[in-house]
Amino acid sequence: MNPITLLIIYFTILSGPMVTMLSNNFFLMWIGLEMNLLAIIPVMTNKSNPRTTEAATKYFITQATASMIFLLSIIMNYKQLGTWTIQPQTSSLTSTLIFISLAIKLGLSPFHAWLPEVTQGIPLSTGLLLLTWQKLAPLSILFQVYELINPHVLIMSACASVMIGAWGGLNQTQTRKIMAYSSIAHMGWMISILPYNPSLTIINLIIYILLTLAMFSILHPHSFFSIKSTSLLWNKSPIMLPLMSSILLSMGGLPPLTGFLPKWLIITELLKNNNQLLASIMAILALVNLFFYTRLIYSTSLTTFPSTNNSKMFNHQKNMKKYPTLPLTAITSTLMLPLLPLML
Amino acid sequence: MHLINILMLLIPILIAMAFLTLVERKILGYMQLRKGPNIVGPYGILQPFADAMKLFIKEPLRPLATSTSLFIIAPTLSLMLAFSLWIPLPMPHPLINMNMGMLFILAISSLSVYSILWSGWASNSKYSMFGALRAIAQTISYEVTMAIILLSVLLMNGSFSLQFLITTQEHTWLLLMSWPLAMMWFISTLAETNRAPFDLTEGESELVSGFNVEYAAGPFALFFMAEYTNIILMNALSTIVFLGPIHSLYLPHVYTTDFMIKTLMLTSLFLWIRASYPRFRYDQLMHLLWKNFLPLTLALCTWHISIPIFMASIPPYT
Amino acid sequence: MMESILILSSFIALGCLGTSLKPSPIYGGMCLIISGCAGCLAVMGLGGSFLGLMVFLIYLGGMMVVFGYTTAMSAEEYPETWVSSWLMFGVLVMSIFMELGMTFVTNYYEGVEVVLNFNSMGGWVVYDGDELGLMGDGGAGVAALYSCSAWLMVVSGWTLFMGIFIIIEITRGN
Repeated sequence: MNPITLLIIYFTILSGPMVTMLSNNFFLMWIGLEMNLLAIIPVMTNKSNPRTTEAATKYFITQATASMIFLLSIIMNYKQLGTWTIQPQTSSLTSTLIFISLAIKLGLSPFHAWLPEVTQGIPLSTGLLLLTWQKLAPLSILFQVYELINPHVLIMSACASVMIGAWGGLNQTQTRKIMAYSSIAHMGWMISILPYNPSLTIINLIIYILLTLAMFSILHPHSFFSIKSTSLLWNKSPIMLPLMSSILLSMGGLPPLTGFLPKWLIITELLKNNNQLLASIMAILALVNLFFYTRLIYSTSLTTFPSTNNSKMFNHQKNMKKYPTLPLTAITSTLMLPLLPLML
Repeated sequence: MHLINILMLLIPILIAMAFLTLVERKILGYMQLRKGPNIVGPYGILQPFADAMKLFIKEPLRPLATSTSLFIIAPTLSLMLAFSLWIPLPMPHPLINMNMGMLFILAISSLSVYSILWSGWASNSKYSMFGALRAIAQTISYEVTMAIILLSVLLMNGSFSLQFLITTQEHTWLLLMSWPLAMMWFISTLAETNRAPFDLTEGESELVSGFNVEYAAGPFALFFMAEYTNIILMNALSTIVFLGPIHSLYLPHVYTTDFMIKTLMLTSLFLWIRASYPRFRYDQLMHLLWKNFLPLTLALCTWHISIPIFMASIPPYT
Repeated sequence: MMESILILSSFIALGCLGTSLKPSPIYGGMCLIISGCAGCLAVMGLGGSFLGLMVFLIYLGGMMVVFGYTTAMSAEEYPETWVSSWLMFGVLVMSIFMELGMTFVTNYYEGVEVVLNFNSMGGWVVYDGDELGLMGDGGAGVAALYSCSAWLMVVSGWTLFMGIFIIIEITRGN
C-alpha cells in the first residue's frame, strides 16, 4: 500500500476508538465505531486474495449490522428522552439493543460466529489488530452503560461465551482460530464481572491484550498458521520454546503467571456476590481452554516435525527474526502477578 | 380535484404530442427538399392519427426471453412520468400549485431513467441492453448539470416555485442575465431528451433502435409518446425558466399564448438542430459534459451565489 | 391523510419484503425503489416536502440509478423472480400474511408499546420551516453546526472522507 494511504488508514484506525472513548455523545461514539470499521477493511484486504476478501466481507457485514443496531437503539433513546446520552430512564429495550450491538462488535456469544472465520482469513498482524485494538471501542461503550443493561443478559452472554470459547477451540488446528476462540472466552470472563466490578473488566482487558500481543509476537515472525507448523519452533529459535510455553500457560490462567491474576480476582468477586454457580462453571471451562493451550505447548516443545537433517543444522544460526515487542510483553504477560496489590 | 381538470390537461398534451410528430416529419421533409407525409388528410394532417391507429391495433409482441412484468411496467411508467411532469407547470395556472415545483420536476425526471433501464434489461437482448446503458449514462450525466444550472437560476428567483418565476421575470427575461447558463441548459435539454445530435441511444447503425428494439405496437407507442411529450415539456420548462412569458392578472390567456408560441419556437429549434447536425461520438458527448459543462456550471453557480449578495439584491426567500 | 400514509407505509413494508426475499438483484433494486418512493411520499405527505423531494432526487435519482446500472450490467439472463419457484412464491405469500397479521394485531390492541407508541404519528412528522421569524431554524442550525459543534463537523467530515477513500482503495485493484 502507498505510504500516505497507510498513514491515513492507520491514523483513522487509531482515532476511531479514541473518538468513541472520549465522547459522551452516543452519536459521536457511533461515528468513532464507523471510522474504525471502515479503516480496518483495507488493512484486512491488504494482501488481496479470496480468503482476505471473504474475511473482510464477513467482518464488514456483521459490523455494519451491529452499527445499525447501535444507531437504531440510540435513535430510539433520543426519541424517548430527547438526549444522545444514556440516562437512568432509558428503557430496557434500548439498553438491551445496545448490548446486542456491542456483543456483535466484540464477538460475544451468541454473536461470536464471525470472529474465528474472520480471524482465520486475514494475516496474523491484522488478526492481532482485530483481537486487541478493535475490542477497545465497544468495551469502552459497554463500560459506560453497564449499569443499565439487565445483568441477567450480561451473565448469560458471558457464560455462553466462556463455553463457546472453551469447546469451540478444542477441535481447532489453526493457531488463528485458537486465538479467536481464546478471545471469545476472555471476553466472556470480562463481561461476567461487568455488572459487579467493572474495573476488573479493564484489568482483564489489559492483561488479555498483553497476552495476545506476546503470543502474536511469537506467531507472526515465524508465520505459524497451524499447530503443525509450530513444531518447527525448536529449530527456528530454541529460546522461544520456554517463552511460548509460559505465555500459553499464563493465557490459560495457571497460578504463578500473570494470566492467573484476572481469573483469581474475578472468581473472588463472583463468590463475594454469591454467584457460585457461574464462578464454578467458568473455572471448570477454563480447564478446557488450558487443555488446548497445553496441546499447543505439547506440539511446540515435545514433538519433532519430520524434517531432513540439513534443515536442522543451519536454520537456527541465521534467520533470527527480531520482534521488538516480544521482550516487554513476554515479561509482563508472565511475571506480573506480584504487582497485584498495585492494581487494586 | 375533479377528473375533468386532469383530462383538460392531458388531452391537449396528447394532441400536441401527436401533431409534434407530424411537424417533425414535415419540417425534416422540407429541410431535405421533399414533401413529408401528405396523403392522409389535407397536407397529411391526419397522419398522426393513422399512425396511432396502426400502432394500437397491431398485436403487442412479447419476445419469449423477456421478463414479463418489467417489460410491461417500463413503458407504462415512462408515459406516466412524462405526464406527471406537467402537473406543476404554470400555464399560467398549474394543475397543482406546488411550493417545490422545480424540485418535483427534477425528481420525477430523474425517475424516468428507470423506465429506460428496465425496458432495456427486461428485453433480454444485447442491443436493448447497450442502448439502455448508453441512454442512462447520458441522461444521469446531463441531469447533474441541469440541476446545477437550475439551482443557479433559482438563486435569482428565491424559491423553488415555478409560479415565482413569473413574478421574477416581469421586467426582463432570465435568459439575458444568465446567458451562458441558458445556452448550456438548452444543450443539456437536447441531451436529456436523447434528441439529435445526442441520440446515441438510438444509434441506428450499431444498435438498431436502442432500448426499445424488442418493443412493438402498443408498448412501443407508449415510449414514443413519452419521448415526444418530454420534448415539449423540456421546451415549456425552458420557456418558463428563461423566456418568462408576459403575465397579466386580468388577461391570463395572453400568458398562455405567449408561452405556447415560445415553446413552439424552441421545439422547432430542436427539429432544426436535428436536421442540421450529425451525431456526436460517445466520448465527445461525455467530454462535453464532464470536462466543459460541469466546471463551467459550477463556477457560474458560485458566481450566481455571490453576485446577488454583493449587489445587495437577494431575492425574497420563501 | 392518515389512510394514505398507512397505504404508503404498507408499500414500504412490501418493498422491503420483496427485497429481502432474495430475487435477482434488479428486482431487489426495483423493490428498494418502490419502498423509497413510498417513503419519500410519506415524508412529503407528513409535511416535509423539501426533505422528501431531496431524498427522492438524491437517493432515487442518483444512488439507485447507479445501483440499477451496475446490476443490469452484471445480471444473469434468466433471473430468479418471486414466481419462478414455488418456494419463493410461498414465502412471499406467507410473509405478506404475517405482515397483515401484525398490522391487525397492532390495530386491535391500539398500538404496540415498544419504546415509542407506534399508534401515534406525532413523533414522525417532519415540519418545514415556513413560520414567521427573523431567522429560519434551518439557518440557525447551520450556524450552530459551524460554531458550537465544529469538532462534530470535523469528525463527521473526516469519516465521510474515509468512507469514500476506503471504497476507492478497496476497489481500485492493483
